[in-house]
Amino acid sequence: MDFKLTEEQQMLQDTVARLVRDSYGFEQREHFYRSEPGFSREFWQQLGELGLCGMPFSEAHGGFGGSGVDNMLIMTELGRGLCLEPYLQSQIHAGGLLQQLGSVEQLERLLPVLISGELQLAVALEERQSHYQLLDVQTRAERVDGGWELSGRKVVVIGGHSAGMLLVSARTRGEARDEQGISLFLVDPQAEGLSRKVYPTIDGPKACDLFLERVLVRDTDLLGEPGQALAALRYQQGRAIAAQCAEAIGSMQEACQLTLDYLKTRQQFGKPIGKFQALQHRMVDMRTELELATSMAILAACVADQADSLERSRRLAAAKFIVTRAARFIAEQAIQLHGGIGMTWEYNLAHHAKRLVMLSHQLGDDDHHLSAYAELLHSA
Amino acid sequence: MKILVAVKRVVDYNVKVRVKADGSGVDLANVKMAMNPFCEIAVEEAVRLKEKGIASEVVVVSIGSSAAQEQLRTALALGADRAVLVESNDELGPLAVAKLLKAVVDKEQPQLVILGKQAIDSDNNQTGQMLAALCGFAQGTFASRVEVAGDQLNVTREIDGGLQTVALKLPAIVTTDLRLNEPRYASLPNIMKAKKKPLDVVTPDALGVSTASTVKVLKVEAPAARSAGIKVGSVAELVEKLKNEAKVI
Amino acid sequence: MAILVLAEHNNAALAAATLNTVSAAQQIGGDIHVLVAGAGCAAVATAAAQVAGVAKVLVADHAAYANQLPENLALLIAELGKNYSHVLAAATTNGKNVLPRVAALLDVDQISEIVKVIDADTFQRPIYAGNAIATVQSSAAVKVISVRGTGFDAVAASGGSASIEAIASVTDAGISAFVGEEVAKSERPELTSAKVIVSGGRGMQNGDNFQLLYGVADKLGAAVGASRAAVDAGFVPNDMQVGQTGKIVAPQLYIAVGISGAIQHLAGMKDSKVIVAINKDEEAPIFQVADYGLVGDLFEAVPELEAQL
Repeated sequence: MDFKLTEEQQMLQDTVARLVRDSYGFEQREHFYRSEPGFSREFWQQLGELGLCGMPFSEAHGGFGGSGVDNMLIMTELGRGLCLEPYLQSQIHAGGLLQQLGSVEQLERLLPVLISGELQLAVALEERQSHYQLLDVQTRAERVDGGWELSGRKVVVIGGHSAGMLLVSARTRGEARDEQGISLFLVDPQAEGLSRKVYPTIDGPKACDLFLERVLVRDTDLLGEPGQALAALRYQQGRAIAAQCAEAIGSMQEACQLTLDYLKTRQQFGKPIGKFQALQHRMVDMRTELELATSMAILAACVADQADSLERSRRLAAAKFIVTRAARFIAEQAIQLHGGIGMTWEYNLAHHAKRLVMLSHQLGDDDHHLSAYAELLHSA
Repeated sequence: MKILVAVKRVVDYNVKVRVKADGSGVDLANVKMAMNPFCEIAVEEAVRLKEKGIASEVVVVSIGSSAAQEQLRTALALGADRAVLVESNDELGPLAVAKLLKAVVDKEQPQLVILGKQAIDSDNNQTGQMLAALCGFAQGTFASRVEVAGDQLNVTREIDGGLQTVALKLPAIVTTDLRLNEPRYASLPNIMKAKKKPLDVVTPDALGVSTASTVKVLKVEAPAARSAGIKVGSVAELVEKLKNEAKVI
Repeated sequence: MAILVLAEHNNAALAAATLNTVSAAQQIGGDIHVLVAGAGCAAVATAAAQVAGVAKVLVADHAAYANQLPENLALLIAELGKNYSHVLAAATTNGKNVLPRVAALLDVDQISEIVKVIDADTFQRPIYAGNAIATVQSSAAVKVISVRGTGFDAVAASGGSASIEAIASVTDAGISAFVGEEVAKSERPELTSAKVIVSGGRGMQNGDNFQLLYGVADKLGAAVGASRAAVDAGFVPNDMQVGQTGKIVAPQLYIAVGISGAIQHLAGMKDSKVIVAINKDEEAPIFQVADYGLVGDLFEAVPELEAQL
């Protein structure tokens, strides 16, 4: 297999890497983190101006028809810079759902502004009890004249505080955990009856919980056929997982680099601590895990945009599990090898470590994907 | 007018280079390569002149292995119109490069040639000046501002302790300093367009240029490490040491 | 065998960089001739004649050379230079501007910014921003070389008694003109030419605290620099940055205050003669290159330093 990037992909990677390097120094990130949106609107705008916000969308809709590998290149660099912008949630996850389910009218209305960077989206799928199960939806949508009324609660909506539009899953019929009856709605965050509780997540980006009380959504804002959203939710979650794996690779690469630099710099007993074999072994273990995870992230990127199949789902579950395991291992080892400084706020590694550890709590944790994998193995 | 921009493929400026143990050079295996930062500034300046309607065409040229096509494509993605690669796998010195560029200048007949002031690998800071001498052109080196006024070019140069402005007759050579401009990022639409722009490959032989050199590198070694000094206990002790031991104040 | 050294000057005074270049010429060995090209530069020629080790001073005094325009100067130097074994100039912006033009006219390669003379044909020069040192050998008939001043101790400005000879021929290429010059009028010296530099890093906490450094700098006649972290944090403007992507400096004394010593920064200042580090973190890498390290709170140490100077 040829893993070489094409000339265009190489340029894409260079552009994103340089943009991140120039915009996301440690101090700059601190500043974005403490700002009101919790990320840089200027950086987001730049992503739009450079066409990067349009990468995941088909050329027919004014995007660039990027492949899973193209998305991977962007996400890896964003991960390396610990970028706080909700690119994954908005452009890949929400954008994917929109593109898959949206009507011609909806696509014409939303895709141009999404691609230009003017509109940011967020996905509100999880609920307090759902524990990563997309079909565990208790939020209800009741039919009313000309639309639907949504009531319920959604949790940990990353980027939901700053989104111009929210994609909310709700049950139009059936009981919790029924496969049928789940619908997806476009909800205006300013709509009457909707309130948001905003908080920073442990690893950086801001998120919010949504409280919906008879929020009126018009028919034109229902995405796809009523009650038929689950397949798309699952498929697009797979794409989001591939992107998240890529993001983790960037962050892990940086954590390994910081650790290696530290081993070569820090002196103890009259020589750099990297001269000690016990520490060399640990560093090698980190790199081995990183290589394994990189292979799985590439696999995930390659299958992300394939047609839905059990094979695809199985590979994505495996990738998520392996990458998350590597992420946690690398975060822990990096801190161990650094000693106390590895946990200080003023040092970048601490922030990478937090991000890497928290990865497993988004888009399904280890147990979730391990059991998904086992089930798929069984049915295959 | 037509502008020619020369660019060089070098080690990415973020890479920490390592000297090879046998002293034959620095280890470039699997090292990230990129366009020399000063060359990026040169491309940017040319593209800006085109956007202002002053330049009609921007031709970008590189001399090096076929891998340098990557950097030429990047220049095309940044807005250059056409690219020429003079393909050579030899390690060429500035004089040989200047002679090859002279041959390209003779063929292309640009009114203005923009180069980076130096490459961050060999740190020579020679090629632009040499090309100017070979062509008999005026030169505005270390430019922080370039302004075309009729058939004349006003160049503000960064000199030790300040700025100098010179007026040059066109055609002329400009070499860029860091503050000339801030290069843009290649946008996705322009990256896509770049692959459709023409890129010609020629050889030094075809240009009729000999690239023999009178300088050879005997060895490359790591700089001597500074030996760690001492810790002083107080400001008074520091001042005393600086005065009496180091004798620098 | 004789060596031609281009004098660095402003028509009124001989610049100190010339003394380092003459020093390099002495190490190569041979008669040393100094070329003073300028307009109304008699005083410079007189000063050059007194420099220790100089055998002859050539003076080209003409309006065409008033502003060291390389188009004119290179023709003159190349014409004279072909009779010499070596042509040397200081690696100042002026030397870097004209010398490659001379080399091309002589059809020889140039060797840039040497820091060490091995023998008359062999030299050492830094490459990759000083991260490697190359030993290079030249077989050129005339060796055209620029000299990094920090690599060579200056020769004495007095003690010599060279003859002074006027050059009659004038070369004016007529393709360039001097328009104007804006030399920074700062009370403080420029970073790249300062003998002493006081630099601040992220430890300064904000831009206002840089006033502390200006106090020390004023006492020492020093320039003030900054690390990339301080620039990125917006404490001070870009042009104060010392480092691989900023300015490369090599003063007699470099005082790093609240700078951890990222490799990027070290690349820009590690050739300084004496390095002092003041930092509260005992493990900061800057202490590994510092000749004198003071572990302590900079907000106490710096005012105390200013008071004791």
